Formats: sequence, C-alpha cells, structure tokens
Amino acid sequence: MDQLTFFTASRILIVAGKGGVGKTTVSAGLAMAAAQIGLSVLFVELDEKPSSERFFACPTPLGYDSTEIAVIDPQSGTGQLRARRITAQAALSDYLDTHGLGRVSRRLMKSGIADIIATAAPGIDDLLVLGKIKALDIENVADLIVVDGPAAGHAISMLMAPRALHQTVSGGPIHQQAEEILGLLGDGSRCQVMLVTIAETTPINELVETAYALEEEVGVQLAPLVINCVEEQGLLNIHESLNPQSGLVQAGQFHNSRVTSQLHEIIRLSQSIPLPTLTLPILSEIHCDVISAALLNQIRLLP
Amino acid sequence: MIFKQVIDESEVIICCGSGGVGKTTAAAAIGIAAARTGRKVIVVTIDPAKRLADALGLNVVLGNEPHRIDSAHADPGELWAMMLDTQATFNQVVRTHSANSAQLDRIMANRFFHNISKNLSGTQDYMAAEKLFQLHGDTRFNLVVIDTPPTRDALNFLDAPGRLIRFLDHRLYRFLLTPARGGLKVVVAAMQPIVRAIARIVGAQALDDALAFFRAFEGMDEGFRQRASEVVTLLRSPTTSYVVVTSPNLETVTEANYFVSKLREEGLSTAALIVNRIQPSFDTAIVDQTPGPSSDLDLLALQRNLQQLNERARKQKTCVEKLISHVSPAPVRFVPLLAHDVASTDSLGIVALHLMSDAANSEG
Repeated sequence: MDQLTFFTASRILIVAGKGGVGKTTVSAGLAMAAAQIGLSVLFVELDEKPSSERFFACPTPLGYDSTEIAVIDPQSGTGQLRARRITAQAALSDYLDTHGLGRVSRRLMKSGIADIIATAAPGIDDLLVLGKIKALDIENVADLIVVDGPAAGHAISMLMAPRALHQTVSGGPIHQQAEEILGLLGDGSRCQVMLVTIAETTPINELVETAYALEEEVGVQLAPLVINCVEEQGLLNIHESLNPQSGLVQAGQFHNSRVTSQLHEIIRLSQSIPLPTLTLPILSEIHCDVISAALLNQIRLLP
Repeated sequence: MIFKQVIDESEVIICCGSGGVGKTTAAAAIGIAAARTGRKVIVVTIDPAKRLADALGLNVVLGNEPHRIDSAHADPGELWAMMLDTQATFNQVVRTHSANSAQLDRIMANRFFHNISKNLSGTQDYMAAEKLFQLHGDTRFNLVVIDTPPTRDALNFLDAPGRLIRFLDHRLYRFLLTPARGGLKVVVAAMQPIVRAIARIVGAQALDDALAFFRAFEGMDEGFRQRASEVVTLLRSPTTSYVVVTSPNLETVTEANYFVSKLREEGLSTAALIVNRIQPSFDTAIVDQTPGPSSDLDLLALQRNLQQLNERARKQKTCVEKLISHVSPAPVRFVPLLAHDVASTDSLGIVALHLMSDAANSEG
C-alpha cells in the first residue's frame, strides 16, 4: 500500500494495547514515520505520567502545549512532528476556561472538586480528553494526529464514555459534546483505532475481545493490527549429527519452539480477526527512527 | 535474606509492578510455593479474575469469596483463590459503619455511591487494602498474597485509604450542608459559583445525587477513618512484604525503579524482586563439528542464532543491573521465559520452583 494513502486514511489514529506490548513505542514510531513521508503530525500522549519523551530524545516531559520534536525537511518545512500531553485534569481546566468559567476553574482544581465531577458524571474525564482531540481535529492543527491511547481495558471504557454520557446527561454542553464525539468516533474517515499486541496467548485474547467490543459497542473503524516483537528468523534446521547438549543446539531448539508458538498465535489471531497486520521484529535499539523504518517497510507490503 | 525467608516471615505479600509483567502469575506462583511449605495461603487478584483462573488452570469463575484450589501442588498446605469485587466490598464496608438501616438504604439507593467504586480512582486500591485487612484477620489463612491494581501511580495503593476519606469528607459537602451562620456565610456565598459550575458541567440531576450521597454519609466518617488507619497500619506492618515484579525491558524496569524509590520514600522496603520472563543464555563452547551432514548454511544460521540469543540475554541482564543494586540487599529471583504460556498449576509449579530454589538462580 502507498504510505501516504495509509497515513491519510483518517486524521486521528488512536493506538491501544495491553501493558507491555510496546504501545508507546509503536505510537511514537508511527508519528515519526508519517512525518518522514512529509506530513505534519501531532503526537498526543494521554498518560498522567509522561513516558514518550525518551523515544523522541526530547529533553523535558511533554506538556499540555505542543513541543516541536522534528522537522524532516527544514527547507520546505514539510514533515513536521510535534507532541503534547493531554491529561483529564488539563482538559477539564481548558474546558472551563473556554466555557467562561476560567475564574472558578483554578479553585475547582485546587479543592479537588475534579474528583467529585468525575464521580458524579462517570466518564466525563475521558469525554473531555476526547473533546480536546476533536477540537484539534477541527482546528486543522495537523495532517495526522497520533494518539498514544490508554491501555486496552481502559481504551474500551474511554471510547464508550461519550455514548454513556450522551444518555445520562440530557441537554447542556456535555450532551452536545458527547454527540459530536460520537459522530467523530463513528466516522472511519476521521478517526480509526489501531490495536497493538505481541504474539502471545493472553495479549492476543485481550486484543480479540477489545477489537470486537470496539467495533460492536462503539462502532469505531479498526486500522490494521500491529504484532510487535516477532522473531524474524524462521525455523532453524538442526541436524541430528550435532551434539544435543551443545549451546548451539539448545539455543536452536529454544528459538524453534518460540517461533512455533508465535506462529501458532499469529494464525489464531488472523482466524479471529480479518484485518491486515503490520509485523514488527524484536528491535535491538528502541528509537523512533528505527521503529518508523520498520513500520514504513511493513506498510509498503500491505495489500 | 533469601527468598524463602521472605515467604516464611510474611503474613501479607503484595506483588507490585506495571501491567503485563506477570504480576498475577507471580502471585499465584508465590501462593503455590508457600503452600508447599505448609502455609494456608489465599491469593487475591484484582485485575480480570480470568487471568488468575487461567494461570491456575481452573475452569471456575472466581468470585468475591475464597475458593479452595484442590491441587497436589499445594500439599501439604492449602491454596485458596479469590477475585476482588470492589463494589461488593464497598457495600460491606458501608454496611459495617452505617448507624441504622435507613442510612444504609439511602446510600445503597444512591447513584453517586455506585459511581464511586468504578470511577473514583483509588477506590479499587482502597477496597483491595480493605479486603486484605479482612483476609488477614480470617483464621482460615495465615498468608495473603495479592497483586496490585494496574495503576500507573505506584503510591496509589498506600495512599488510597486517605484519599477516599478526604473525598468523603469533602469541603464542598461541608460548605453546602453547614447552615449559614455568622462568619460562615461568606464562605458559603463564595462557593456558589463553584456549585453552579459543577451543575453546568455534570447536570443538575447528577449534582443532586452527589449532594444526597454526602448528606446520607454524614456521621459515618468517624468509623471509616478509624478503619482506614487500621488498614494503613497493616500495609506498613513489618510482616507485610512488597515484592516488585518486572520483566527485563527498559519500560518495565523504569517503572519498577520508580516503585522501589516510592516505597523507600514511604519508609518501606522492597522485600524481593522478581525478574519475570528472562531469556536464558546458552553455552558458547565450541563443539566438535564432524564435517559432513550438516550444511554450512545451517550451521551459520545456528551460530548466528546462538549469538543473538546470548546477546539478548546479556542486554536483559544489563537492563536489570541497576534495579538489582537499587533493591539490594533484597533477594532477586529470575524466572526464565518458558517456551509456552503459564496456564496450569503444573507450569506454575515450575515457576514456583524457580522462585524457591537457589540453585536454579545461581547463574541468573
């Protein structure tokens, strides 16, 4: 597939996956890859605790305002990568400011009333974060917005929040906001979700559950899946004349059993979910340039 | 200190670490290891109970009540398992502290109350600690092993009781419910824009629910506070051990380091470190190759593979080195990456062996 076609399929790409599968690595790599083919890209981190700055060799943790990460071609100014972190707290503050409540907003935060708000209207924190992303989309801030989304379990509840609030809060700005976000999530040309996994039983089981829940309950369109940390070398031929006690043979057997079990899991995944996949090898160096090169290569191979 | 001693001398073991490192597996394996030494162990899981049931090779759905695992691996002790039900535990706590059935009914019927357990961050952590406290007092068991909720903030678990109390004790409710008299009038007036702001955000109905909840809760805070301080005392008791679980990669090791530091700031120590899923290394001694049947290309591929695996093993070790010295003198246990997923008491038994035997870990 043409790389530009891939990265312009939707403006917003939310990356989600279970802890430990390399979700942030893949998100950062995607953002860099899109910038490298000339797009202007905004990377959005949602975690309360910053974690992505090291992928970008960024000296300070990301803040609510965007930070310039790279310009691929400084002469023409194309291929721009910026990054920012949108937390629920900051999104609430921003929301209050833009709704004429700026004066009380600081007091609200200080007195911990944000907790009461989040409890009184469950999902409101998720809604406000999604609302901010939607606003960025409408403001046309970038060609592509890559969101390093929440962990798989939370991804469902986050993307379900707008529907729940739309039903429970009747009328008012939140109802309106929820309605607009529902429109965004249901439109595959504006927003897609990319799920990341590794080729092991539990992460794949969770991915399958998440994929169906997202499609059926939220109605989002899923982008190709990413299978991370796959062994590149296939099965090794171990001749019986070799000493079975040697490290050479034992390492070979260890490798073969890993490859067999990964292959088994990848087949199981493809039988459960009919989506194209991008396969990433175990990378010796986790830097977003390395990941982006691997991703661009895989995208080219997509049908 | 050796790992076995940590198990022998603890009444509570709390497994902490970031998501995906195998906390649940580690907790279940510690449970088996302890049962083998004759302890009566209950393993409590917080995250999807399915994973603990899977790890234990069970076909049952674990619930909020202890379930005895019938397995020869647990001999001569006892192994029990259960899943934390946050709402059920919260209900129980409210029932204990409510003054009368009218107060209990009012709270149970309140929507805001039901939102708390699912949506107020920290509530799950607190209910886990509360359950821990109950099980610790249960004479059926003499060791409670628990895996912590997958929160990013390591301190949540310790801070949760205080956090819930502060929430229940909230100023907003104080200000709204205190009859305006004398000097307080000013304060009440000053709060009004805030109340209006909240109503505008969440809707009048949700705000009413919230206020009704705080009103109904009045008078219970003393009992709550008392219990919370008992729970915190247990979390800080010398017989409560914190076992940090990590996998050998930069991301999870960074989290584990952060956790160890936070524990230290709190005056607590890491009792043991489990490095899960470490890739084994292989002997590189040149083997006598009889030239002939094995083709040069095959041999080359095997040699490259051997080098690569050993290189990976070396990198993983380097990755955890600092963490190991950070937790020193706590014992460190390496659990090798198994060729297949841990999904039965048999494979858990293997993990338990790696935890307990020093021989298996001498090389690391």
